[in-house]
Amino acid sequence: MEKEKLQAYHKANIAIITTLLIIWAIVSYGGALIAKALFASKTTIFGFPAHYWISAQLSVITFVVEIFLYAWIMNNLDKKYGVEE
Amino acid sequence: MEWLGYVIVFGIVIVFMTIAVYNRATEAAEFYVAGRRIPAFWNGMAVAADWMSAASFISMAGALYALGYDGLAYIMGWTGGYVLLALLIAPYLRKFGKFTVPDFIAERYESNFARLVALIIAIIISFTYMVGQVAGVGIIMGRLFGVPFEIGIAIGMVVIIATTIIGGMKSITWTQVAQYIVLITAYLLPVSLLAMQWFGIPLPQFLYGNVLQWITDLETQHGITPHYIEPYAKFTMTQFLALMFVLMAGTAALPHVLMRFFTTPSVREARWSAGWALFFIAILYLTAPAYAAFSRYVILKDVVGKPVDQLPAWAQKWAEVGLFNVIDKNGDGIIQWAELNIHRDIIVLATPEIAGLSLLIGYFVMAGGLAAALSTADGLLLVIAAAISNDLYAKMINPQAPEKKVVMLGKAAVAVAGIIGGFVAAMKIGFIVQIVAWAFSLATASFFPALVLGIFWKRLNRQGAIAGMIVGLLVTIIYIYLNKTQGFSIAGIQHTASGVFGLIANLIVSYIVTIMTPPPSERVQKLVEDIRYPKKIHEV
Repeated sequence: MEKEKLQAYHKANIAIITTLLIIWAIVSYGGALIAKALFASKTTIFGFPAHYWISAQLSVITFVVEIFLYAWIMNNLDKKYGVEE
Repeated sequence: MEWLGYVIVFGIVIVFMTIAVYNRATEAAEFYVAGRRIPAFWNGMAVAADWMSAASFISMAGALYALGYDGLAYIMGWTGGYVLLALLIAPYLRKFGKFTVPDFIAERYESNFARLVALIIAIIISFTYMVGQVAGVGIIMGRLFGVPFEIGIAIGMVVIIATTIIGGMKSITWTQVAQYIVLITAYLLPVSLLAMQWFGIPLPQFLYGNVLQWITDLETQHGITPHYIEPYAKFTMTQFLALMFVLMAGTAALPHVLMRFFTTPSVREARWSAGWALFFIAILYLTAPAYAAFSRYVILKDVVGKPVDQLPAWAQKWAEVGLFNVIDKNGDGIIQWAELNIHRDIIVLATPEIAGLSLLIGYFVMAGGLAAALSTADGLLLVIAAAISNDLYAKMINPQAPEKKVVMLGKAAVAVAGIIGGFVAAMKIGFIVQIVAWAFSLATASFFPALVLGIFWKRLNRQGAIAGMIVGLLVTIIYIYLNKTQGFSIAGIQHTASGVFGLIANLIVSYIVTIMTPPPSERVQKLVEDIRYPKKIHEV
């Protein structure tokens, strides 16, 4: 197997992980950082106080979607680079 | 009606045991990793049962009730950890393809000393965590049948040991699948029926936003501050963020959860499996805040501001067993918010009564809590057995041991660790409960960096990793000690989140020691490269 192809696969994997972790951090830590301001502004989403909704629902649902997305992207990437089992 | 409780619980226990008997195992690969034949979907369900403990089932909604917004650090922490696990750890450990987390640590760092450190941490974390589950079984049995705490523990212990001994990971997997189905149904049923009564739609997860609004209105009316939904009223923001991080990193590195990812047939399935696991876990974690909000509202509406002698019937029942306390401090005959002292466990357990549901559902909820405790204890017991039989005996003491003998020793370890766990739980040592709260910090400071750096940083060597783990653990333990006894803290971070400092120390020490010492061997470098790809790249 060519070394460059393998390295490209690894690089792509790292880029995907980084992107997904940035989203992960924004919904959880980002949401927590703006919670106080959102609470004070009395913003609501779907009938929920916005800060509560972001932390209790948006973040959890985002986590689930991210993991499935990662599995899907990587399983396709495996085939593209010919590194599947 | 009490016989009904017996029928439900013993019926369910018999189902679990039957499944276990049908999945006996005698070979090492079956005993430790279920022959690596568990499809992603079912492994995900088993991970969810393994992960969600008696505390998740019974106490988490109560913690949210008490902490308001700040309690969401637990919700995000215990779910967000799966993102780290799925992206940074599980697929690579599956490719590595041995039995345990100490197996990986030992091969990656070419050191049986590292294996010893890893297996000791794995045993300490798993054992204390297991004691908590066993105690949970004792409490539930006591509430259900009024049997003494110790008898409840003995019954629970027999079931846990039997399921694990019969077929190891193979029997545990399928009982955990059944246990997940019981626990999630039991958790969803009462609160969904309550939502049906209030809104005509049985989806509490989407409807409790309105209830949060009603809570705020009632709090304003009674002059209660801070509001339930107000952020950082119980924790400082730094404590919230640090705790959330420790729970995430700790979750990603807990050995009993990681071990389940060795059971999938391929790397591909391991990736899907992490998605299913969090999907099944999220169902409960999205519902817990609804439980908390519904009970908070009922208590503000039906209890606060009412005469002391006119408690609702459900509250009276829990008051009799000392879990719902009203002390009329100012003697005005009216219940004030500050005069209420509610045990966190009753938030879930009292919901069937609040909704006026039949006793049958109350028993079923208890059975769900039982399933949650049993399924988690099984997985933990297997980690202890694997650490002793696979890592300590077969890999360190007697590498020539025949496989049958190793599995037999594993089964013996299950029995011994289980019995000791039962006795420790019966002694009700408060210190054990404390250690469970620190398990996440300890894992964050030791396993998390050893695994993630071990996978992604090829240059990290034995000296760096071992020094990092030891310093990380020491810093965490010292911080816990100073915070608990001297009230010392940095940036308002409490002992429960001490792992962030341990992690920072670990990273610094790992880096400095590694660059000052030679790189790892050719073989380890090839191993690290190989686990990046699902396909075999190097012979290692």
